[in-house]
Amino acid sequence: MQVIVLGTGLTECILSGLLSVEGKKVLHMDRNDYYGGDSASLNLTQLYRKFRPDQSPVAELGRDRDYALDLIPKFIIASGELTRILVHTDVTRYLEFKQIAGSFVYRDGRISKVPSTEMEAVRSPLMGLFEKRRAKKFFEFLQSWRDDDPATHQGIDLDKDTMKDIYEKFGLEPGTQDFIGHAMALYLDDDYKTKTAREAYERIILYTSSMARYGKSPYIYPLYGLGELPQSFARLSAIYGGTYMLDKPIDEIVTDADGQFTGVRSGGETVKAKQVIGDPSYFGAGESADGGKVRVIEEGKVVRAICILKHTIPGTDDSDSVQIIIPQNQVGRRNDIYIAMVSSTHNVCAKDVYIAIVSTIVETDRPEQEIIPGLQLLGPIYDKFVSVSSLYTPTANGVSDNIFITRSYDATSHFETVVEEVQDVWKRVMGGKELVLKKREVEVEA
Amino acid sequence: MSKQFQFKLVLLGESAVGKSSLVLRFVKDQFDDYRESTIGAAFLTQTVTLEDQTSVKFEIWDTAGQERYKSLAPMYYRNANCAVVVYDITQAASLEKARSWIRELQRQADPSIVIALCGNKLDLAARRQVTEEEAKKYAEEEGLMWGETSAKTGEGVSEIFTAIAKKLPLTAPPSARGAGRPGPSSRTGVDLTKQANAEQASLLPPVKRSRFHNATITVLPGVLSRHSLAIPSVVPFAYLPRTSLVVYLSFTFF
Ligand SMILES: Nc1nc2c(ncn2[C@@H]2O[C@H](COP(=O)(O)OP(=O)(O)OP(=O)(O)O)[C@@H](O)[C@H]2O)c(=O)[nH]1
Ligand SMILES: [Mg+2]
Repeated sequence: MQVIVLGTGLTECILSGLLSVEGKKVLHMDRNDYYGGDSASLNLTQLYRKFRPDQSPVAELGRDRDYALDLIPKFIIASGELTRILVHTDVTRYLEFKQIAGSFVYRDGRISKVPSTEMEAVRSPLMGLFEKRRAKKFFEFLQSWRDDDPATHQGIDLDKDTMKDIYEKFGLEPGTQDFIGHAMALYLDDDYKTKTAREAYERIILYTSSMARYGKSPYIYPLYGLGELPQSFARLSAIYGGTYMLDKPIDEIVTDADGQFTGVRSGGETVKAKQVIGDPSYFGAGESADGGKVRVIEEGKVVRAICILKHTIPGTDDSDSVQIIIPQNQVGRRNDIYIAMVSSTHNVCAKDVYIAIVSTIVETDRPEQEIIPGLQLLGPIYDKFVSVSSLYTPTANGVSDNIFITRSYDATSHFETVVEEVQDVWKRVMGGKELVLKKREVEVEA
Repeated sequence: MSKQFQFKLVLLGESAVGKSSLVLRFVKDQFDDYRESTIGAAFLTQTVTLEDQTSVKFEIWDTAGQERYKSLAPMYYRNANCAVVVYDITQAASLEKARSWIRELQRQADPSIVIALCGNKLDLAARRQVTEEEAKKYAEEEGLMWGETSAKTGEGVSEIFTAIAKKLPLTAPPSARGAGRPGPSSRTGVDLTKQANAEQASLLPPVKRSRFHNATITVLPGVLSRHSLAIPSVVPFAYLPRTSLVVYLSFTFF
């Protein structure tokens, strides 16, 4: 074996797929009997086993096989990097996508749609008339920007000036800044304002190009839940020779006297390999690490509430799927609260059931209280499963000991940071080689 | 106009019973005595034309070895319209394995799935461990199609796939038809092509076209459907041209 991969979360599965395509011999194991790790979609039985082991699902919710409940709420941003990887690896042939019907933002006590058509923009209560004009100037500036044409720069330097400077130059109100920074650039807090503006510029472009792509919202979503994504990449890996073993307890990461990785022990067997890649839960996260070595540390916590609803979210025009962003300033927080809702349209639950996940980065010692502004937007909640998860990050980059640990799934609403992580791990595993996507043909047409 | 259908067909069965060999015989009419365990091209298509000119395109999924350590992803048989569960007539244990796959399909797959039980390696009938009667009786009890094949000689192979092709258009429920693969060579439930076009219409009122007359709107029709997403050579998959941003932004804050 050249590479052992531990955990079948999306990050690990993309890596294992790409490594197999590259010709590496990969052994991929998971302690669970299902794919996806933290990025799995669970049926009701699995969900109860995880959250309420002493209960069984209520019969009223319908058939177990109709459910695929995401543990991590994320959508795919249509023009983003994950879509690119899906296309280039041909993994799209295993998946079907649907749009997320709408993106909403909370302002002054109510939610409004992020406009996606001219009509919606004209009617949008998000800005007053004069503010719309100022915003128009700001967007025209962004759209006409060309790096190589100083005439388009209006005296601004995206690599020197901060977003705050630019907002001020265009005289945008704080509420508009919240809208742009949080609902479009998808920043979770306001730290970006004091940084140079380039990144925010790119994020706004990504958002708008994704929005323009299909119209209703910038997001797409795979039928049967996000858990299909790791499974598809696992299949890619298997087709290229990767070996898969689920339901395999991992008992030890074996190292030599110098701390170099040598293999993985499961029960009485030890499999040797050159390198190991895995999610933090296989490297001591939450428990004491092998031989007292701390391989991952917690850098924060996210609270997530999976809410089962019997109705669409009020104020969303009966949309079958939505994202709602509550910018932090609007509710006196440091971090935004997100709501992601999907439904039977996406084959993730029974008919007339809606699944909303409310999440935020934990700021206090009473995380459940922190998501109340989100929960209040949902109307009556039929049932709710709340979890607080740690965000782990590795203490070392793996280059010296061949132990490459991935980061936990963050609180962002899409997968762009997951892809960054894949590229970063790839580069380290491959000794500095960048990830270049080559298209390959796997179909044989008779 | 002759009818066209497209169906997802999955293969299941113990390792080395001849799943990949059956596909190879069916799709390319070849056989390989020293086939390696499945690697590589595990996504094949083959079209069967029936006497009434109905054509049935099979989108064939081979397990890629993921079943070996009980690690087949549910994604594999989800949405499958038909499953060929293969056993080796010279290995009694392989029929047991086939039975357990059939139970799994009955529990997890779409209730309308057509299942065919297939006894392979008929050319080795001298070493037979599973009788025709035993397998046939079991298939009848469970309401499965059944046949014996030899991927090596080709005997029975096209027969079993043709029998499935005949049965499928009749049994696939309307839901699978609309939402599933069938229909004239489209494979997805939602006609995303249409959806994207509809959106284009709403994004582009005629008035605006004159105002931004030199901006080409690029709403990539159908790009959401699996097929067109998979053809980046036709649909260059970079970020959209800036012109469409112009349109979006200007629409939004006019
Ligand atoms: N005599 C004979 N040998 C066959 C027949 N079909 C397959 N084989 C042989 O059986 C072995 C296994 O065939 P495969 O097609 O690779 O079996 P598989 O079920 O795809 O195996 P995995 O991919 O490992 O799950 C190969 O050596 C084939 O040549 C057959 O009809 N007759
Ligand atoms: Mg095979």
